[in-house]
Amino acid sequence: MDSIKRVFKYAFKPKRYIVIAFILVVIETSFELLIPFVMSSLIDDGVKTGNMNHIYFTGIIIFICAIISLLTGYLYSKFAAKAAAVFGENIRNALFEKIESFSFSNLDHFQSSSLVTRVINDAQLMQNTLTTVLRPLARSPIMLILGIVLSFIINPTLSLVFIIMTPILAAIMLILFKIVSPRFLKLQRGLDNLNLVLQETLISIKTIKAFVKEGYQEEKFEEVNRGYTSIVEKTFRIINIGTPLSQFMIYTATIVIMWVGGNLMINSVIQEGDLTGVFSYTMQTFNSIMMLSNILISIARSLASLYRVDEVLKETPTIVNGEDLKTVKDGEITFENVDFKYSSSADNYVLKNISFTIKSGEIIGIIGETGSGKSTLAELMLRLYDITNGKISIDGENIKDYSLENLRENIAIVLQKNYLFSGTLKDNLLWGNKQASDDELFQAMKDACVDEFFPRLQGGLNYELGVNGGNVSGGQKQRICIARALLKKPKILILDDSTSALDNNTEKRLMQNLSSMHNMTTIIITQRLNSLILADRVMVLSDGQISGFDTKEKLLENNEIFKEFYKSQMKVQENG
Amino acid sequence: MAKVYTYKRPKDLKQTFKKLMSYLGHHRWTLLIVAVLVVISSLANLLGTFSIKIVVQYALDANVDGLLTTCIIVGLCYILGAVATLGYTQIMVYLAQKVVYEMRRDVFKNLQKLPVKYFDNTSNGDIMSVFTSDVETVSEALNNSFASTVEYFVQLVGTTICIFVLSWFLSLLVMVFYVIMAVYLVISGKKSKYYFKMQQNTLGELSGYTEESIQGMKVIKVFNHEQESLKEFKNVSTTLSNSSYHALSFSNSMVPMVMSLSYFNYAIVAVVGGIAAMNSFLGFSIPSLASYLVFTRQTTIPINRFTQQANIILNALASAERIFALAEEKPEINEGTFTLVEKEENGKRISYWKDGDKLIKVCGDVRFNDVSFGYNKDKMILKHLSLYAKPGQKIAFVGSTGAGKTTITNLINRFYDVDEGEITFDSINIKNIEKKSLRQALGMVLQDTHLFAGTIMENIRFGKLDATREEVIAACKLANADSFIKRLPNGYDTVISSDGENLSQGQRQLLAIARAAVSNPKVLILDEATSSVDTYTEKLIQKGMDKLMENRTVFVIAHRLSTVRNADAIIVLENGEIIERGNHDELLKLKGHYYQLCTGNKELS
Repeated sequence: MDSIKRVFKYAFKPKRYIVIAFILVVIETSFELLIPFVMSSLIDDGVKTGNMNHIYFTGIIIFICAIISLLTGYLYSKFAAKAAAVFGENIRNALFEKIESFSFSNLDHFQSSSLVTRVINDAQLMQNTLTTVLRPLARSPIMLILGIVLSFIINPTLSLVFIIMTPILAAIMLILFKIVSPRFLKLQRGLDNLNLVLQETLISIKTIKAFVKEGYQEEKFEEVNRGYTSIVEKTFRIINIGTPLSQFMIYTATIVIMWVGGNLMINSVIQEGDLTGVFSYTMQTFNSIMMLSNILISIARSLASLYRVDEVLKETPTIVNGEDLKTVKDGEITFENVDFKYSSSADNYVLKNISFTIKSGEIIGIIGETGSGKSTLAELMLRLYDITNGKISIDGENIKDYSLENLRENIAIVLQKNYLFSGTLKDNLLWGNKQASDDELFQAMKDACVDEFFPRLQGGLNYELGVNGGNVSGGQKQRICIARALLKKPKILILDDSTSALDNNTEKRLMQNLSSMHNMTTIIITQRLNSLILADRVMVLSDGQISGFDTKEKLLENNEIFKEFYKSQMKVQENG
Repeated sequence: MAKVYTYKRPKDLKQTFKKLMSYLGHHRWTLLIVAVLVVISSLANLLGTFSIKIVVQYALDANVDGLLTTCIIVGLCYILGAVATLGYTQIMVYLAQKVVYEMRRDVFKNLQKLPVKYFDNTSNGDIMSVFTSDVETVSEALNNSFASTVEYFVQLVGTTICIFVLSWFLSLLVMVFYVIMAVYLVISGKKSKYYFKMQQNTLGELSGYTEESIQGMKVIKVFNHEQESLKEFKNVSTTLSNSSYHALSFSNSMVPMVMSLSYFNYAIVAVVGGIAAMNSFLGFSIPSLASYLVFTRQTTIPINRFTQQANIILNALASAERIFALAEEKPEINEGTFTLVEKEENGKRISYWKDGDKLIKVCGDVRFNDVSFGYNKDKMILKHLSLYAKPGQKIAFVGSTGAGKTTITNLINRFYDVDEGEITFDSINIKNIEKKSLRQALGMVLQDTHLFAGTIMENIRFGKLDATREEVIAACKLANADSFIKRLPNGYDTVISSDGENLSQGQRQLLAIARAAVSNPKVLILDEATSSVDTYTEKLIQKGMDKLMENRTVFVIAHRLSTVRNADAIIVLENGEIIERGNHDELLKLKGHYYQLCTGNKELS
């Protein structure tokens, strides 16, 4: 219930479309229901008494009803369409906005493909459900109430049939709904399992073929396929009981009306027009209740989507924005007894008891084996993750006191898993600084050694990079990403393994360019000795702790890990 | 892609229908029973409406017995009808799920047999949508629409007959309206199809933008770019909302429009019928009028629903067509006759290639004789390549991206077939070896490590399903994965997800190496197997790797030159041709391309 509330809070804005659509259906339905009423009068007061005028009169009334229903029906289709379209749009936008507020740990929590599915497919599915459900949902109760009232006016005895049958039928529907709705969640899980095996097979098809494990995968698929089919079958068996059951109820009502109504007619209590009128109401009303059972099932089905949407909406961003408007001036970084683990429930700390100071303008290298926490350490400085214990300060101020915008504006990071967006080279560079002039772009490209290959790009700044920079090589992509970061004119620049695809000469030139920039602290995370050429000091991380932080010369004397690293890298070069 | 209104039409309706019928064909008799039950149920329903006339007539005649008999007969028919409904709805659920299950099974079975080329050229999303959206559409259509269509059709025909029996001249009037409604439905059906197609296109656009933004979300955050991205997203989102609005307002209007048309029809019939009944025109009486008017109201329902169902069924046939297309996609050719067999000799298991009586011992001798290949004919990736690897030799490939290194491995295991020349394995042309056996004799560690949802143990066992726990642990120790696995919450029984989110790239590669080790192949192909392992860890596993490569023919593709130094032969590829070959020392002396790469004066990317 909370989920529904939360999602609907976003979804129906503005409310007027859905309200007007609802009212229109109510009007339309009311006029529709008048028709049998008018008809019974046509037969009893017109035909039987030979009153031609009355016949014309009722004919005109029905005609007017038809025009009104045409009008309302037309307007309804517009308003309902608007309501549904806006509903879908609101959900999508709310989701996207929420995702943008996520911290890195929030993002790690969801798979990116599942986030895309939620924004696109689930929102669309819910929009479709609203479309199918809106009209019957407005009609059924009106039909029921008016049906009872109007048949009561025609004849109270006959309307008793309604009054007794309706709650029974409603109860049956509700019970079915109660039984079925939890099954849809199970059904969704079954489908997820099926998709998982399928997706795995598609992604790993080469591995499967290489290891000749088609049979093994087939068995896995057989199992999930069988499981899913059986859940679907069971669920729909229950749902489908609804149809004959309500049919049975309607039939019973019809027979009772035939018998009781026929006898009432024989005793001249009612006239034939009354009887046919009540018949009409019976058919209509119970038909609409049967529709209601169908829409309940549609709703139950889309609940799975709703829960998935809500999972995103209710997730609390783990990082709270700082309020102060302080700006980073010098780029001095201090870590004091910093501990970090990805979630409070995780057993192992990724970083333990980290303390150090980096002075403004220094060039720092960070090395360490895979999983030693290098990237994490850098990402903590921009508050992409928040530390578990301790304190990080920049220019002497706790980073939690800066606003996220200020902090990230002044610290540029080139991520290891980088990303370029489809669009031109210029579009992507402007991410660093929207107002940058072409001269500034060229300067940044020169600093990042993009100028080496820039003349070869057809169209220059307007060269299309393709999805995630598909039209440039790995090394070119890395340099574009660095240029993009430099355009921010950051106080602190972090390169997270972002020069791995560059040759030694280019890398050397890049490092020289960076070191000549004044007033910028540079942190280089790397696996290559060559990247450390101009580093003032090198931090060696091992298993989440600092094993050494000193000049290269000193480290070579007293740090085993650095010595190993140095030796293994020098070998190749010495041989050359 | 989710189930969105698509309104696609099948290209070859007849063929698709035939194939669908062949699936239903195993259940031919069940289907017949369903049809009979549907007809019974619809007729019972019709009879009820029709008997209103009789009831009114008996009541007018004050005939209580007649009334009672009618009520009893109708009641019995109703019971029969309700039971028939119960019967066919339950049978249909069973039938629909059975058919859909068989479809999924068959498509999946064929899917894994398709050549790698198919997967390289088809997006996973497209294949996924066949399994999810298309199968689901067929399932729902079978579940509901098949029976409903028959039912509404019977009702439509039945009602039409009934009104003609009641009064033919009024029915002519009704027929005029029927035609108007039908024309309206056909025209607006076409229009709404057009709008829904537009909606589909915008949806695709938004989907592309969203995918990109979410994949690059970390970059968006690092650049404070949230506001701009949101603005752009909202723009496309609004465009979609607008096209949705057009499509929906059109499809929404169809039901109310037909309803309104039926009221006009009703008004005219009521007036004309009233006058006719008053004058007893052609024997038309008051009970007939009462019954007739109820019928006239009822006719709209089957017309409306019949068109809706017809739409759903056409949609489902379009889906079925895509399902069958995938199920009938041509599997990779497998004409080889040599199979891999194992024999016990002196307590040792020795592998042989076997074709009829011919037995050739598996040694691991691989040769390329003048091989040329291109993924498409106008761009050759490998040009007249000849090379050999004697049993136990280690051959390394070096070269920039696109030089054709990975292509070589794709050819050895026959993911792709050579265009010219031949590749031999122990002097047998690999085309003559059954694919399954060929791949069993080869072990591969691919560039991207793919793990499966399940435990670490299961993932390693993927290399050899009947490997014992000890074998698995030994393989992990070899790959230096044992130490980090032991530190995981449940050790070897820790469940990992398919994208292995808790494992680093390097750790995943170690698992992949262990997986190859446990499969114990004669020939091993390492394609960038240690690219994400840092140099320090790489040193640690060096011993294990050396042991893994012992007594095996090994092909190594590596970015990092330190990994190829010990190779017996290093082959430098450029643009699909061998430009240098020799061992490390020889190549350095040559002072050519390899030398430049080693000294870091050339970019490898």
